[in-house]
Amino acid sequence: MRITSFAIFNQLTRSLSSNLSSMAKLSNMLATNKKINSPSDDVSGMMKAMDYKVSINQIEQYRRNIDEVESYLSSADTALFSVTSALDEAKTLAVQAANTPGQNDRAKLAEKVAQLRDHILELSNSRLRNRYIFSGYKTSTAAFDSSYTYQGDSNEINILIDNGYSMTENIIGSDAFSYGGVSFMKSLDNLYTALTDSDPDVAQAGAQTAIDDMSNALDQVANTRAGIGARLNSLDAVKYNLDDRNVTLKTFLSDVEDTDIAYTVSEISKTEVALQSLRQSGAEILSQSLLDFLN
Amino acid sequence: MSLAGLFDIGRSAIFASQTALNVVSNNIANVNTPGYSRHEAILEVANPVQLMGNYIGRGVGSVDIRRHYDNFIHLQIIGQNESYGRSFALDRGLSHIEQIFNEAQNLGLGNALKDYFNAWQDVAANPDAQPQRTALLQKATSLVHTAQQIEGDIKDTLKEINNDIRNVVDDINSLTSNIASLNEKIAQLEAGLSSDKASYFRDQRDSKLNELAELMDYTWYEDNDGRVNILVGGESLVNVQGSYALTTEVDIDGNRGVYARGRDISSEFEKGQLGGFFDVRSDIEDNSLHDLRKLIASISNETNIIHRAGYGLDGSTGNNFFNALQIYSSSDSTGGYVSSSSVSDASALTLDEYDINFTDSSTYNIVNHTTGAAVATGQTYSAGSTISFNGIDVVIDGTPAADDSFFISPLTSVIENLGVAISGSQTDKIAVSDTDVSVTGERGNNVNALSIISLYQSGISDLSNATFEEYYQGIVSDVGIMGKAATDSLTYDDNLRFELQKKRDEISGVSLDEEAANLLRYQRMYEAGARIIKVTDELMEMIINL
Repeated sequence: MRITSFAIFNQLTRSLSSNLSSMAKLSNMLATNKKINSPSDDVSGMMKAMDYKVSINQIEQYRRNIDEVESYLSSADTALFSVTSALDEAKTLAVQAANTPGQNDRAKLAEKVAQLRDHILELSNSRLRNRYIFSGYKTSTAAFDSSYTYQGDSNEINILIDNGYSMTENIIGSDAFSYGGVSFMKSLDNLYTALTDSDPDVAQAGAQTAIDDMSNALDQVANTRAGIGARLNSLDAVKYNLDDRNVTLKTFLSDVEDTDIAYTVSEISKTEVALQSLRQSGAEILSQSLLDFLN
Repeated sequence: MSLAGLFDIGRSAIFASQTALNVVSNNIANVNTPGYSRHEAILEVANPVQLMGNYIGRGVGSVDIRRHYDNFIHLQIIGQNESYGRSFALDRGLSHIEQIFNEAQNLGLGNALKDYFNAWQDVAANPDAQPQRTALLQKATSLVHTAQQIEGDIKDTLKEINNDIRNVVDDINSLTSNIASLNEKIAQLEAGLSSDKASYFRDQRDSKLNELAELMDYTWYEDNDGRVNILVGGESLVNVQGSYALTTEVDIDGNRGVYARGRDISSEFEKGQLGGFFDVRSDIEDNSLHDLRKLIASISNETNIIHRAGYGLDGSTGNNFFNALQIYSSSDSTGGYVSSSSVSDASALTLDEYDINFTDSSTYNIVNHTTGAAVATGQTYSAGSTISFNGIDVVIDGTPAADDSFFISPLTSVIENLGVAISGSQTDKIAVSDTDVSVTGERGNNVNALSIISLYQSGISDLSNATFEEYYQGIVSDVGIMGKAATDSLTYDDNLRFELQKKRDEISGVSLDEEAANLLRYQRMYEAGARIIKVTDELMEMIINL
């Protein structure tokens, strides 16, 4: 084989430039910390990475949705917790009223009952970010009006919390604040009316009814709160599951697209050695010519 | 033979070595000239004379200068240059497109698409809250802008390719005119002589032919006068009369075509940069651009269909969320024209493109533009009446003739016309509810929003049952695969070309070591020749002085 000066030179510049371009590629991997810097670097890896990113994005959206549901359920729970103490107090008052106190005492009790009635009404009309939380879909309508009648509907607001899995974020006011079709406020109002009656028998009978009503109401609230607790528990379970999947997917994503630093650094040193020896041998070969030896 | 004959021998040695030194020096001078073929002085012994029964040499005779050249390798290099040029053009176009869809650096539509559907989720979680509604409109607007940005970038790339085509044609024209003038020089120099006398011009012309091959594929042959004839698609570009320049013209879609003598020969190019540019242009149009438009059309159409069925907080219904799809049409007809085209039923649209082809002045067929499948055949044309198919209404008017064709597409202008139909002050019109809120008061109803969200996770029939994300990943993966293939074949073709170049250099290249040795060799020959003359002179003197 005849080797010409031109061929040697070409071969050398070519090898140098191919080594330099792998060097550039490797340092780019280090700089961006990614081994896939454009789709053609690794098409199937890129597709996996895009898949993982879609799933991660969905999981993060579900996590935001769960936070949303949680804040609704927690507000409902907080409101119902206050309702429980109010009902407890009302029940105590009803017991006192049943023990035939005098007219003056009944007036005082009636006063307290009215306060509790109004307090519970206020709680039933709780709002979160300006939305009534116990009104079903009718989030801009107060759940109960001044005559203690439910104004909302029984629609459930469903939020996606995982693929194909949605959770109801609202508590229907007519379920949470009524027993046997009568709202707690209405029962308390009945007690109030009875206590303000001049006839002690009417007052006592009203108080007796109220004791039963309050017991039923307390059971009802306890049931509702148990339901909320169950929902919050399953939210937690879904949340852990999502977080777990998120971590796994992020590990996969990192495996696919992140640079293996140790490997890349060692590749860089290898390329550096190759470049160095190319330069040295190039300098040797290019500087030598028969002409040097002719005098 | 006389003593004087020795003078002749010495002189012939001096002359021959001088010529050889010229050749060597010229080789050395052209050591770095691309395309230069090494020459070699071939010495031949002069006709001997018979003297007393012996043949005696009369020195060195004619000096032939030979060009080291392998025609077979030259042909291979031309072929390889054609492949290289094509790969170069493909790689150039596709590497642009790849950057546009570079999801590795979060360029492309991916984030905007996710954000848009996330915003719907946020609205579903807060059906009557204004901030989430405003955010949704912003995310939808940014999806629109991103799609328009991407389409703009793709169009810019196509424009660049069209400019490249024009530049390549300019280069081709200057090369063919160079080749034609070299043809003349070669033909004149070699007239009546054996070929190869004009070797320097032949080297130049070979270089030009190599360059030309990188730009386009062509057929060529050398005629008896040493002229190279070049043909493309049956059109002669270089012949005995000189060169003929190619021209370019831009068609209605902005695509540049190559013309020879008024005839469009664009489809004749398969290799070279021209072949590559034509291919990559249609690859981009038929894949990346078409698929992107189809995806956007699908997102906007599917969103609209569900959105129109829902109710806003103000009780309004039947509103589009994005601007409604429009039908683009273009006609290839002298007497007929499309007077109107529109979507008649958005849910019947399949997001395919169609051709209405006339078989004669009163009969037409409708075919799917992409697959060629027949939609309707043998339909009777009546001017101005509505042609309805697959959710599209088209009215053709005038007098179409046989072979006339009308292109109908719901995709061509989709991104251009895309916009969010609900303005920033009309957030109440976003249809989140599935009941009339003004009647039912169900401001917390998010059923319609949930339906839109479910679009994101379900296969869309217009997109061959892929989800939006899957379809988009398909676009990116196509771009990646095409880009990878182009880069790989560019590297391959470049390596092969280098190997061929090395082969050529083995035969035609100049080796300085070799030339240095030759320099010395002919210097010595010259010195010895001079010595012969001196010795002969001394002998003469001796004789004369006897």
